[in-house]
Parts: sequence; C-alpha cells; structure tokens
Amino acid sequence: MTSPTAPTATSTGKKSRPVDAFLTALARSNPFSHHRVTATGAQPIDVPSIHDAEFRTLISLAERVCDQDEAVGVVVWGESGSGKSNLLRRLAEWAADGRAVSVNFLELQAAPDRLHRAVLTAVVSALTNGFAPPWHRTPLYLLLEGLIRPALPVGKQKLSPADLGRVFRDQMTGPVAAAGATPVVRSTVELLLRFLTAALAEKSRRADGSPADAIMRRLSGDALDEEEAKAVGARGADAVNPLDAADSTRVLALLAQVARLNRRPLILCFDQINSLPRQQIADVSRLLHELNDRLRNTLLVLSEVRIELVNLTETGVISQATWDRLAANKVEMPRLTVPEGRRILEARLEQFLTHFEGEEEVKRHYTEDPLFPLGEAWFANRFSASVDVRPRRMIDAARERWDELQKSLDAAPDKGKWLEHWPNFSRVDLPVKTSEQLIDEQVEKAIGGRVARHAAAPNGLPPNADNLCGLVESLLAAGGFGLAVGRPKRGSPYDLLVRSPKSGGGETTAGLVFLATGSSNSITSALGRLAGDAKRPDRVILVTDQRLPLAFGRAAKAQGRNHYAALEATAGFEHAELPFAEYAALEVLDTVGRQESDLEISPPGGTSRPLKRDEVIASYRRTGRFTKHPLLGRFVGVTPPTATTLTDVEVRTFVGGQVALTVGTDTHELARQFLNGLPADRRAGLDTAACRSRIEAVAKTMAEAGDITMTRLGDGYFLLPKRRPAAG
Amino acid sequence: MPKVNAIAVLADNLVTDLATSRASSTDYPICLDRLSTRLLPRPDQEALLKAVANKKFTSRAIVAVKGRADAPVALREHLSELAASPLTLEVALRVKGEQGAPPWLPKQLAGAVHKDLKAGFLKAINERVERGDLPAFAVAVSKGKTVVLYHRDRPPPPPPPSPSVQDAERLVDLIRRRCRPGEPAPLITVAALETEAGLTPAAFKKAAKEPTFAEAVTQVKVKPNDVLVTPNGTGDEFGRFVTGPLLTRLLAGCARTSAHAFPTKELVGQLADKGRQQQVASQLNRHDLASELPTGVGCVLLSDGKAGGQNVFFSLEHLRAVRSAASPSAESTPRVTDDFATAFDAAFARIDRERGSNNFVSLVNLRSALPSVSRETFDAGLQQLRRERRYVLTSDERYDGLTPEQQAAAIREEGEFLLHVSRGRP
Repeated sequence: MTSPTAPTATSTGKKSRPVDAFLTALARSNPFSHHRVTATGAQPIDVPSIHDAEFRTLISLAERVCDQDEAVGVVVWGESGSGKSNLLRRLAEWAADGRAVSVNFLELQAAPDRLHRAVLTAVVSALTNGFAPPWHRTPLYLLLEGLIRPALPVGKQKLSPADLGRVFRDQMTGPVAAAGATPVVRSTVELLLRFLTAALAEKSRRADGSPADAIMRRLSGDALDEEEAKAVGARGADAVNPLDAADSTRVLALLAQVARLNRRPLILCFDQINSLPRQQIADVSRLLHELNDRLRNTLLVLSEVRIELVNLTETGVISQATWDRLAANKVEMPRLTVPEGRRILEARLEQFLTHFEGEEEVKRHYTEDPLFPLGEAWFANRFSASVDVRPRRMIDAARERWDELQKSLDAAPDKGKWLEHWPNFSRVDLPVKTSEQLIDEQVEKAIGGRVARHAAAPNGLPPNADNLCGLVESLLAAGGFGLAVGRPKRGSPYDLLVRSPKSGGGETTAGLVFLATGSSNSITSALGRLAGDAKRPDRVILVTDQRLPLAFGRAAKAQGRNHYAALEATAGFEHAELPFAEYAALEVLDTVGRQESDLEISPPGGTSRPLKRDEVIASYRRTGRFTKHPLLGRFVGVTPPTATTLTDVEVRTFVGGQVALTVGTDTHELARQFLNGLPADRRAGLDTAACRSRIEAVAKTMAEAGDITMTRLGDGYFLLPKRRPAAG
Repeated sequence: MPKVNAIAVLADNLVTDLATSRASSTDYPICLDRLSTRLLPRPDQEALLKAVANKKFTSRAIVAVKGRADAPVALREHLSELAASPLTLEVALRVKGEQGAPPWLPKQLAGAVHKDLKAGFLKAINERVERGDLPAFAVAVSKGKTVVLYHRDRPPPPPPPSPSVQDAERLVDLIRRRCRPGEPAPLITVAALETEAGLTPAAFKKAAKEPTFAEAVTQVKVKPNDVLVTPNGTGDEFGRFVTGPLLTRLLAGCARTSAHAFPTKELVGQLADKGRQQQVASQLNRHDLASELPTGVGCVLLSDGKAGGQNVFFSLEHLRAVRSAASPSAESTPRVTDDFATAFDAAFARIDRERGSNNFVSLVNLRSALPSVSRETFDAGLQQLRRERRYVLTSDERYDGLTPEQQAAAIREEGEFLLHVSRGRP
C-alpha cells in the first residue's frame, strides 16, 4: 500500500488548514494501488478472518506432517486473484515465527537433473540466512543447538568437544535411520557437527567460524576442492563432485528430520508452474512426486490456477500418479461474499485514515460513512448485484474509484470546499489510456512487487548457475530480437549459444558460460575448457554471481588464474559478474512473463481480461527492460528494423515435419525451433511471438484439413500428429 | 593468625556427624541433606555441595551421586554398604528420571552413581533382582533376557498410540465436533469424512477399522456407494439420527416425478445391509413419530392388510402443491427451485466423480445433464444456490480460448465468463 504523503506547504503561501493534509494524501497516494503480494510479509494490510479456514487447513497439515513424520502434498488452487499468494505469505509468516522451516522454491528453470540440488540449495540458503555469517545466528545453528540442549547435564551450559560429538551423534541416530544410513547421510552428520562446532567457536569468539562457509557449500550440494574437503573433515574423493539428485534428496531428508527433532515441519512451496515449458512442468511435477515419496516431515505446497492445473492433469503433462500424491489434500480458494470483500476495503481505509484521526471534518465523514472517502453509495451501486467477488476485483474497483476522487479533487476550483461537497462532486472523465499504457502499468506494478519480494527475502534466490542459465535462455528466446537461442551439444564448453543478426548481414554467435561455485577445481576446469576451445565463437561471455566470486585457489599462479588471464587477453571475451539485484531482475522478468494470466487489464469500453505472455514481453521491449539489463542488454541493443515475410508453405512444411517427428509439441516450442532454424537475415525483426501466431494460423488450416490434431492450452496450442491406419 | 576455611570446617563437621550417625547405627547411610539438618547453623545448599567436594570430606567419605544433596553419603570404609543402600538405588532412579524416560538397565543406573560405587551398586542390584527383594519403590520388569527397572512413582510412559489409532481418534473427534447438543447427528458420509480428515485413502481405511472408530460410530451403508456415519451415544442417538437426517436422505433418494410419498419398506430398501434395514424400519414404523420428523417432512400410517401398517413419508411441499393445484402460480417458483437443486446436486456429483473429483465442473456438462431444465430456470436456480453458498461459479481465464459452446453455456457477469462450478464452503 502506498502510505499517505506528508502534507507540504502550499505554493500560495496561505496558512494550511488541518484538512489539507488529508486532501494532499488523498491526491498523492492510493491505498488500493497494490493488490498483489509484494513480498513475504510485505503486504502490510491483511484481514485474517478472510480465508482463515483455508489458512488453518494448511497449518493443521503442517502440524500433521510433523506429528506423523510423513510427507504430504497439498494443492492450493483457485482463480487468479483469489488470494493464493496471500495465503502462502501468511503461511510463511507463521513459519518464520519459529514454527516451521519454510522455503518458497523459485529456481524453477533449473535443469531436470539439478532440480533436486536446487531445492536442497534453497533450503540450506534459508537455513543459513543466504550462506552468510554470523553462523551462530542462523536457523540451522538454532536447530542443531536444539538437539544438544536437552542432553546437557543439569547446571551445565556447555560440553567438551568429545562430549559434544558423542551427544550430537547420539541425537542424530534417529534422523540418520529415517533418512537412510547411506554414506552421504553419514558424512552430512559429520558436516553438521563441524558446522555446529565452528558456530559455537564463533559464538564464544574463539574462532571466526571460517570452515562453516565450505561446510555450507557442501551441505547445499556444491563440490569442494580437496583442500577444502580436508579442512571440513571430509574425504577428498567424497566431496569433489556435486551431489546428484538422489544424494541431494537424502540430505534434504536428513535436514527435515533435524527440523522434526525441533518440532518443526519443513514446508516447500511451489508457486505457479503452469507457464513453464511443458517438459519443465513435467520435470518439476516429477520432482514433487519424488520428494513426496522420499522425504518425511515435509509439506509440499503447489499453488496454482485451478483451470490450468486441471488442464495439465487432463492432458497428461502431470501424470496421474503424481497428481494423486500432490492433490492428496486440496485447499480451494473460494470467491468472497461481498461483505467479506468489503472488509478488505475497510481495513485499507482504516489504515489510511488513522493518520487523520484528529481532523474533525474528516472524522465526521468517516463516522457517518464507514467507507469514506469511497462512499457507501458507490459501494452499494457497484456491488449490490454481485453474489460473490474475487479479492483482486474488489481492490481494483476501489482503486479506480480512488482515481476518480483524485481527478475530481484535482479539477475542483476550490480544493478546500471539495470535502464539503463530498460525495456530490462533479465527475471528471479520466483520460482514456491505451491498452499498451494499461499493460505497462500492470507490468510495472507486478515487477515492482516481485522486486520488493526479493529485497525482503534475498535468501530465496541463492547463487545457482543452472537456474541463471535457464532464465537467460528463456528471456532471450522470448525477447523478440531475432535471436536464435539454444543449448549446445553435450561436451561443449558453453552452456548456451546465442546467434544474433548483424546489421550488415550475417550473424554473430556468442557462447555463454555460467559459473556459480566456490570450488576452484570446477572453475579451473571450466575456464580451461574455454581457453582451450579451438572453435571459439565470436563472443565468449562468462557469467558469474557477485555473491560467489571466481575462486582460483590459494596459489598466486593457480592454473585457473592463468586460464582467466589468457581469456581476458582474447578478443571477444567478456565477464559479466551479476550483482544479486540483476540476478533477481532476471527471475522477476521471467516469472512476471510466465504468470501473465495473473495480470489483468480493463481496456476502455471492454471487459476485464488477463494478459498474454506476448503482451508482457512486448511491454518489456517498450519500456526498455531488456536493454537496461547488464546481461540481456548485450544481446538486444539493436532491434532489427524490418520483419521478414514468412510463407504459408514454409511454415506448413516445418510444422508437418516437426509434428511427424514427435509425439506432439506445443506452439511455443515450435516457434522457438522455427526461429532458430531461420538464417540470420530472415530472422531479423522476427520474434517467437510472431512466429507462433503464424504457426498457429497455419496449424488451424492443417487441423481443419485433418492433417493434425490441435488442442487448446492456456496460452498456445498443443499439436499432435493424426493417427493413420497402418498400411496393409 | 591463619585464615579459617569455612568450607573445610564444614567438611570436617560433616564427616564427624557422619561418623556419629554410623555409631548410632540407626540412620546410616544417610542422605546428605538430612545429615546437614543436624548441623547448627544449617548450611545452605551451595556451601554443602562445596563442602562435600572438599578434600577433607572426599578423603574420608563419599556421596553416592556427585552434586546431589538428596544422595546418600557414607564413610569410605563403608563403600559396599552405600552401594547396596536402597537410598542409592532411589537417587539413581531419580537422576535417570530427570534425564530421560524409564525404564533402565541396571548398567544404565550404575552410570548415575559415583564411579567408586559402580561395581558394588551393580552387584547389589543384580543380587536383589535375583532374590526378588528389591525395595518397594523399585519395580523390575523383564525385557528379553535382562531386567529393566523404574521407580514406582514414575512408571514408563505408555507407548504412543499407533498412527491408525490416532487417525481413528481424529475421525471420531471430527464427527463429534459436527454434532450439536440436543440435535440429531448431522448427515456425514464416509467420503466427506475422508476428505475433511485429509487422510490418504489407505490411512483412512486403516483408521476406520480401528476399534476406536468402529466402536464409537454406527455406519449405515446406502446404495449404491454411500456410507453414512453417526456417533454412538448413551441415549437414543441412533433413533434420532434415523428419524432426522437419515430419513431426509432416504426420502431424497426415492425422489421421482411419478410419486411423492414413499413407504418405510421402500425407504429402507436403499440400505445395503439387511440387519440395518430392519433396525431402521423399526424406528421409522413407530406410531409416535410426529414430533421427531424433520422440518418439511410428513408421514401417514398406511394400511398393510392384517399385518398392521407401515408409515409412509412425503415432503410437505408436495402435500401443499396438491391442495393448491387450482392456483399454481404462487407456489410454482419454490417448487421448481427445490426440484432443480436436487437434480443439480445429482448431476454435479456424477460429473465431478467422472472427471476426477476435482470439485470443478463445466456449465457445458451441467446444462447437457439437465436438458429438460430451461435456461431461465437453470440460471435462476443456480443463482439461488450461489446465494446460499452451496455452489460457487468461477471464471475461465482463457477468455479468448473459449469455444462458442463454452461461451454459450457460461454465465456472463461483470465482463467475465463464469464457466466452472464448484461446491461451496458450508
């Protein structure tokens, strides 16, 4: 919510009346301008009685998983704008009060084989305040200390190192048995003990807790160098490779059990996966399935728009077995009754008016009319015929009403008398906004909200090269700058290849490498492969996370440093070290673009409608969000001037060929492949959106002719080859 | 003048008093705090514990458990006596009890006493166990080939109930919470209970078999697949359940346009179990039912030849409709709505079940399932159900992806196509 603006001196120099402060605030702020959840706990006004039953259901499930030591799936579903994200925010607030370990998993673009590790990294990040000391103030330390405390002899505050180790291992017997006494679980117990020892030493200022950094990296699944492994008491051979999916899950299971000994469940939230590419949705849903089967003391929450989830299950993208697990519990987010919705407005108005309690004229108005300044009459007129309402719709209506009030106040010849005439004021027609302006406003709000969310909870997005690569790939492919974006073949030193058209003809190829590891071995190896690449593309871009600077090893002449120096001396080499804010910006642009149906506009004279992804991406282009980004801007600086003409014949040939090769594919994927397959001069000026609409138009004629089958998706179509009787 | 060490003096005094106690032979070994009451002035606990840690004391005497004022104490020459003392066993049980849950092996108890006493203590316990002359406060229980002990006043906690028993208790609790004192138990289906309890089908099945659940409720199977549950009580709760919610349910199950009144025999025919049919029929055929009938339901006694008679039940709506048949306009709307609600409920339940029980049914399917209901009646009836929060309509987000058929079936409201129906929150 926008807080009321403080009164300022008027330019006329007249003595300001008390009511002027209210009018100034009314004119400059709008308590209904934000309806989306902006951060974990950052939505300042909540009405706890709304969706209280749904909230209590989630809490009781969380308590149940802890009591019964089981993993339980729950689907939170409803329409867009029905309050799903707000419910998850409440859950996170409840958890943050020491009742649970809650993680909102955001790294949905990670590759399938690394999703498990990404979840582990997210959990460890949450448990260590984003891998940041002081370690003795991290939730993980408190959990581990919680294991030791009951075993302290009466009157004793600390244990000798030997006793600490004995007690800790005793306490971990149960968790180890529950997680499976595999080598990785046993070595994780030792890592946790080392961490506890380091944090205790840091707490008593006997040491700086430095080994904890490497311990946490290993705990989160990252590889360690042999020296680091020795320093944290692990066998070098055991720690030099990152954890695979199975081991990552085992470590997660162990951490969930540690949380359980502290009477806390682990809560993993996945918010809206429907707009990911279909293969990625299938992979994420399989991840949820596996976590459900292999973890205990864990509540897996999937929040989704109901129609989308039903479609995903009916079309088989989410398998029946997975669905049975995820939807073992369903929390429906029903529409609100009008009186319930009214309470949202009242709560926001109450907070706005609190600042003006001493002003008699304002007080008289809100005493007489509880919805002042919106007005009871406006409310009755607007909602008397409604049976029920979505929270977002009600807030939007109030925001529009507030906009009207602002305009009429602005147009009033004597602003001092505006309040005397309220609610009878002359309506001022608001300037008609174009659809583009409305879209840009919505996108701006959504982006602002999500940026605030990351600012409030930076631990939610730990360094993850894989996710970073996925985000960049997704955004560049969708950006509409004529780029051909693809993953190279296995064995290539690059993670991503981007071909962009040159203004004078031909194209430039850039190879991108993403590194976010503290292991100097891994870095040296990656840089070595780059330096030794004989077929180097025109540009080589090394992308790293500022929170994990390149670690070359201790030696001044470490091999990694030599490779890096050699690359720096090479033409076309660039190093983009992204600060957290820029990594977060990529996640924001991708997520807002994917959750487009959550954004709605009411065009002039038309009806309210959700946005499409293409519209959101077009807004990004209009408002320069690609060009302003330090990494994306390197590829999209120049927009090709004219678009190429595509013929129906070439599109038909392509679609027919691709559909015949597969068991079915969606038009988003086809558009990406089509664009990537065009020569650079023909790709100029084209984007995936344009290709997709052309492909869909041609596919419709093919479907009508009976050549293929076409199924409507949330955004786009799924194309299937027509089954023909076998010859003979 | 040399400085006097008060703790050392206290240690000396304690040893002297201990020797005196031994000489009197009445109260030995003695608990440390009891020994301290003999000193004047009586030392505070901190000083007492410091004194027994002092060399002057430790060289001549021993406390059974370090740092405990409630532990027995004896002179070093009487170690075996102290080890075998019931007081030592009692303090060992107490110390272990403060650290964890009973019972314990003798070896574990020995871990609590002074190291010099361990061997003697263990030997003494084993002998006492063998002879069966443990002090009254100590209880021994066989555990495999060995024996474990606990204090009579602090027995081991009962084993936690199994998850299925806990689930069963929760189910019973859920049912009881829905009951209001003085009113018949509401109609609860096993399917609804399973959904509300949030259990997996397997867990629910297990819980339902537990005596905790099975003995606390009566289950009534209604054809084809419904199972109703009602809590057992001390009074005639089952009778009130039969003449209240169950009767309403059975009456609705018989509803058809060609008949408005149904005899007991036909009503109980919907029950799957013969024994239950007889039990329910005996309740429904009582002649003094009038005051117990649910609102809106009437009954008359129908002749059944020489065998007596049986009650016939009907909805009062239908009775009134017959009387006012000459002027139907005033009564027609509510009747249509009630019929519509029943038909709508049935259609919704069927389609939802067919589509995976997601509580999410398209109006296209619902309208097709009720072809004889006009659009006007359908929309008005649905609007009424929405106002009662029995059903909720939701929009289809794919506003441009709706087929003409979907657009035609949807209800247009504030620019949205409300296409999907869900059961509302009660």
